[in-house]
Amino acid sequence: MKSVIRMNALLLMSLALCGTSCDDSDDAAPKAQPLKASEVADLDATSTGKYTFYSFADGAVVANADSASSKWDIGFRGTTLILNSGVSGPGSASGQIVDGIFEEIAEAPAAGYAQDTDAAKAILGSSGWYTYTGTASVPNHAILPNAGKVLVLKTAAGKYVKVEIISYYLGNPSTNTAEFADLASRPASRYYSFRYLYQPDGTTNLEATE
Amino acid sequence: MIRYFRLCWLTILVAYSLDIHNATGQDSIATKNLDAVIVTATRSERTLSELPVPVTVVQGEQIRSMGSLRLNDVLAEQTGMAIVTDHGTGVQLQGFSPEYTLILVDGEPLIGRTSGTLDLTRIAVGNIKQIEIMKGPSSSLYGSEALAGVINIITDRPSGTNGNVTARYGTNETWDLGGTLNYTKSKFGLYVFGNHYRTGGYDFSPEAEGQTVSPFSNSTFQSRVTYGLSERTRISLSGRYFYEKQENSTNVGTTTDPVVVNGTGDIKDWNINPVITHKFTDKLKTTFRFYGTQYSTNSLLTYRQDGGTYDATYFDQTFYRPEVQAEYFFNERNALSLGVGRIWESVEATRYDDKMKYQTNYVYAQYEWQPLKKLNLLAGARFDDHSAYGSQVSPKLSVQYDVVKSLAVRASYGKGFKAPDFRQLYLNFTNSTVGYTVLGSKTVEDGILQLQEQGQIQAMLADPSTFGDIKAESSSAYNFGFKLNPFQRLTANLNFFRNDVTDLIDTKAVALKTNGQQVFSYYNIAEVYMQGLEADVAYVFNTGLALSAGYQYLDAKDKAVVKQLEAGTVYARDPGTNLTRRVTKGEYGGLLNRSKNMANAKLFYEHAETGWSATTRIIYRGRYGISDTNNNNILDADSEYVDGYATVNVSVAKTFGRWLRLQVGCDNIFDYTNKTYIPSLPGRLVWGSVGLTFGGRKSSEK
Repeated sequence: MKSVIRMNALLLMSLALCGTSCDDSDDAAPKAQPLKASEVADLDATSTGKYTFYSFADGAVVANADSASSKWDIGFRGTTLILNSGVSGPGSASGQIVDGIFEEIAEAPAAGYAQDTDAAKAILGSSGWYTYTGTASVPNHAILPNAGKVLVLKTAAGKYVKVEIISYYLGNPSTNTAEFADLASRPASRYYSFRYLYQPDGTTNLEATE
Repeated sequence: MIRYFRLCWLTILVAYSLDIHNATGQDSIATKNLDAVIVTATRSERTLSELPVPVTVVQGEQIRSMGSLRLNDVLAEQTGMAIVTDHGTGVQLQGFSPEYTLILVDGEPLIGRTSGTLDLTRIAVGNIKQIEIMKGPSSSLYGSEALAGVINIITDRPSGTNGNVTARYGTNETWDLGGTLNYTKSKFGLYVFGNHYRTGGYDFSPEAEGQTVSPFSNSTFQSRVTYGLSERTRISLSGRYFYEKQENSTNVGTTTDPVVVNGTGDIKDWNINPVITHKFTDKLKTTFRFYGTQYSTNSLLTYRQDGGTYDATYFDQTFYRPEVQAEYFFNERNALSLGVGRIWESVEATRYDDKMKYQTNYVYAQYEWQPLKKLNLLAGARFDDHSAYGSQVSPKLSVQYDVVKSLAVRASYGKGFKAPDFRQLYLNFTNSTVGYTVLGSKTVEDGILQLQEQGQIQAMLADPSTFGDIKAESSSAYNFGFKLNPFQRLTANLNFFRNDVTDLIDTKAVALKTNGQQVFSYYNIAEVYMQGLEADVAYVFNTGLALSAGYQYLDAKDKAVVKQLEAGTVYARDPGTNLTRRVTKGEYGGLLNRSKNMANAKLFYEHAETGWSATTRIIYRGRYGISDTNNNNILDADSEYVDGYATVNVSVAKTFGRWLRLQVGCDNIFDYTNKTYIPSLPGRLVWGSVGLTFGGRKSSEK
């Protein structure tokens, strides 16, 4: 009995070895990487002096020491967003705000991208990506990302990415609760939650594949 | 049917010296309404039951049992009407804002809409014989502003020789003192009415400077003289004077650094209305009317600290109109009515450089035809030619078919319009703090030239050839309904309506200024529709006890928003995940401040022998949208609505003989308030009144 099991195990092992070494078919066409959105929670943009930089290719925050490089694509400080372009940095990033639903934007537009200039940033804040409620509506004095607005950017390296800003507050809280409306119990602001879909192959295809 | 016209004419002649509505409780409210004689539908007397047009009549007796003081109190309890506050207390009819309903007193329009709304608190109710409410576009007879409908307040005529004094006191230090005087002698009749109303207002936020409703007082004086020159000629002269004074104070600074400003304001309006009716022959009757009126307001706001002026504004409007109307009764089944008139109107106000003057010439025609005994037709059209904007043709066609004695079917089609008002035509205003400019359609061309010369224009955003191209707002409406009277105790009305409103005027940016702000002007932009159904039932239990109930369903939406929703371009953030999602057509709540459901139920009791009477009324207003909070510019989320609510009003009265009447009442007995969102709804109001009648008996009583 023991010998039969040992035999079977040996057979199985050899078959497995065969299987993994038989990779002729794999070399013909490389499998496409699944494209899916990444979520970033609570990116700290509380500093009043320095921007918090982010790189979509790396999917991580970039240190301030690299501010004069092309390592970062987008910078956050309070409600201001800068792109590594024009007056904001040495890179050639650019961007625009597109109307629509994040999942449905399958193709980046061919033209219409702007860079940061002295007159205006490429991604406008008020009447751009957010609305400040002031005392006009409840919740008062809140920064609420506009619905149906998606940022389509070209990174510093010229790759396309679509970004949706979800929340400006720590922990992505629900904005229609009494707790949020009360300024005393509202979570801290200047913490960005956003999701993005980065296309590394340089095409304008921004459709998720899974 | 034509027989009735002549009968009614005679009835009215007799009614000048009788008081036909002041009968005892024997007549039910239901049958009284069917036999009521109304003037609004055709600009001459007709019985309600013969008209192919739905008209709601509120009898003066009902107003007295309700204990209402001002017109807004009466209209708040009628089916399909909501009282809204926007630069004044106005009435919303079939979903239309107050500026689209014409308010008439004895067939002549009340003026004084500084921002579109006619403030209904200006109208006392102590001298009202009946209120006739005709819904649906009526510009075929009345011209501008009769889009949603017409509310015609018929005042008392001289009747017998008698007098009446009433005093009332209630919550919020509200006083109402009124008196009427009647004197008739053979062909001459005199009617005088006076009223003084004052209130201390109320305050929902005691910690803030100033009250929610500031104290104010007003006085009304109205009189009418009638003289029967001959059997064929009658002359009537009526006049009205109204004066109101208000004081308030507000904090224009901040809570930590208050700057208090005291305000005083006054309103004056008067009108004069001579009318001569002459019957040339039995078939031809003519009416000559002249109406002159003026409305003016003055407001001064001064700093409490040093008395310096903060803001001083004034507004002055005049309106003069002679009109000739001729009615010819071909035979019992055909009648033609023709009218022609001219209006001279002027407005003078702060922020307008010159006195604005315009004239309108108009002519209207109306044909009543009864081709079959069961079929009634009413066709009319009016042509208005205004000096400041294009001319307007307003047709109307109404049909009624009596299927059986207890069932009639009604249908009508009509067009209504509202002329661009003086702001939309002549405004020339620059906001000194923010820097934007608004120009009316007649001042935009010169205004832009001036700004260009000053070098203030950075870029043009609109085609200059479109300047000055403004039209009246207009609507087309279809109405279809049933009138049921299965047995004498029960009457019911069901009406479906659909209004398509086009060319609604709104502002649009025409140029970009060098300071980054924009120049706006008025254009015909928006399109909305209001549709729904209205049902009214009245049931008489026995002599003296009547129940009535009403319901309105309203669907009012902006057509551009509906198109956007169908295209899938309206989004909202899901409150749970904060991710964007598409808003569906079904989530769109429609226009703000309109309730989908409104209902009322009323019980009226009267016992003539003992002199006791009582009323109980429940008014329900369904939830309505107040503002956009999820910032997608449309009404969709639940948080954007104000809760629906019901108010219950009761009153009890006892008359002693003919000379004394005591009445007590309580409005909003359950004290419903919504201090944040409905500051115009005061809590519970308790009141009591004493009325004395003196003088000779009225001819109708034994």
